Amino acid sequence: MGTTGSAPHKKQEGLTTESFARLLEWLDRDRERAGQKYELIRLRLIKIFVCRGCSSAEELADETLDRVARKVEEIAEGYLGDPALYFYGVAEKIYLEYGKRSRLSVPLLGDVAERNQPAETEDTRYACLDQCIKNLSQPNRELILLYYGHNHGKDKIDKRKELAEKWGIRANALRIRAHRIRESLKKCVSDCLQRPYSKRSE
Amino acid sequence: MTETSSHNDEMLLRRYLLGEVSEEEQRAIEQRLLTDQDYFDCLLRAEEGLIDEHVQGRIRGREAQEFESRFLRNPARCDQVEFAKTFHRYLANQLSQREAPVSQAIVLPRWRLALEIGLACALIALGVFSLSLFRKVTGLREQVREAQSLAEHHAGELALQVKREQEQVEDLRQEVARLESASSGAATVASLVLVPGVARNADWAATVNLSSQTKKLKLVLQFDEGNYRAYRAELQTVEGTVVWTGDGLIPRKGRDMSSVDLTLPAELFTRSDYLIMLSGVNANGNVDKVATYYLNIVRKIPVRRP
Repeated sequence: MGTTGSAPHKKQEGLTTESFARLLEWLDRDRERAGQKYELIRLRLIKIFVCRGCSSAEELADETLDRVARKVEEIAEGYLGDPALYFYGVAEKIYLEYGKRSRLSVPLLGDVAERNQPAETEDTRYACLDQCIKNLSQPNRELILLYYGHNHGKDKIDKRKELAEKWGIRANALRIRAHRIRESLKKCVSDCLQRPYSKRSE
Repeated sequence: MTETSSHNDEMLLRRYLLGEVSEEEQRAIEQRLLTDQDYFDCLLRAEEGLIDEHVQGRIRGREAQEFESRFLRNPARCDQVEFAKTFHRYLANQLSQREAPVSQAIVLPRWRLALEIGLACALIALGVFSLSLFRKVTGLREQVREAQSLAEHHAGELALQVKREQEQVEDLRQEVARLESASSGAATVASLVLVPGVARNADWAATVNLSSQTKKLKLVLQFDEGNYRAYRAELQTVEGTVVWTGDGLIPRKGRDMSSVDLTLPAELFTRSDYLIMLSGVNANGNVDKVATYYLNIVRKIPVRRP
């Protein structure tokens, strides 16, 4: 499912073009910014559903967005405050409905593991990661190896403090930076695994 | 966001991820997640930290149960866990490679070891040769510098010597000129002391020989001291024709007699006999006769006549 910043992922079934346009307009008068806000809300709703233990978080998030879009004509006029909070109210209702539907039947761990067994071996993932790390800039590569390389107790704290001083930034800023680099690596590995074998080293 | 508040947020979000928060807290957290990007990023970091702890086996007890039963329920999170496992394996390998460079060197193949030793020896030999070459070049440069310095020193000395010799030559030239001038001066000026009252008789007449080179005739007229402020001299022919007159002559006082000096052009003397009349000029401007001198001129070569 696409997550491009400027264009919302898709229009759902039963959702008219007009109501979708109205939803975007409600989020922001600027079409570009409205699209970005839409995607951000969607991403955060997915995370919330995931955190609540929903296995079909994306579907629930999309359902939330559709329902708000269908209601937007009625509510937009007199609504005060951040529209995102309205989405939250709708998401809660959707979650309750989901609970009733599935009786919150939690799949067994083994089922999840089996269902998500990657086609690629661990070595393939490792090779992709190696390639992705090599593609990082030298400072980012150094940062991520040093930041996550020492992961235990006082050594970890000291090393990260040392690293923050070296980079001339606060510990929290360093953490954010390291996390972003790691996220980019995660995406890079994921993309690498999607490519055919012959193109993985690109 | 301060470090402390960020840490507190993360601790709360960790509890949220493990399902350990109240319903009220959950609502507050989720609403903030929807409206605050920093808070949402904080959730992602807390999630990452939790996954790392799980992968490294650092979650134990009730938390471990919560993690497995709740956190791993979503397939996307299983992917995250897979990534984290690979990532930490990679980091561990990198760390061990960095910490054990010596053991790596030991397991080098023999041929490669030999090659590397050979290369190292070649490098050392090259270094020694370069050093020796450098020293040689430095020595040669030093020698060249010394030779240049010596040559400059010699050149300086030679220049000094040449200058001295030039000065000597100049001195000699000046000496020659001075001597020539002295010798020619002797030849061009004839001097004669005349005593007053000497008779015209040839035996008593003062005679002066004028050569062709004689340009001037210096005459010293001696007389008894008188109280005149100045003197006047007249050169006359024996016939009484005044040839030359000199006024305002200042006397020189000697022990017994006084004298005045006359320097006359030699060409003035075209005849052989002359009289010189010396008069004194007193304070009133009156002129008194003081002395008369007789002079006989002998010319060795013909002179230009007016």
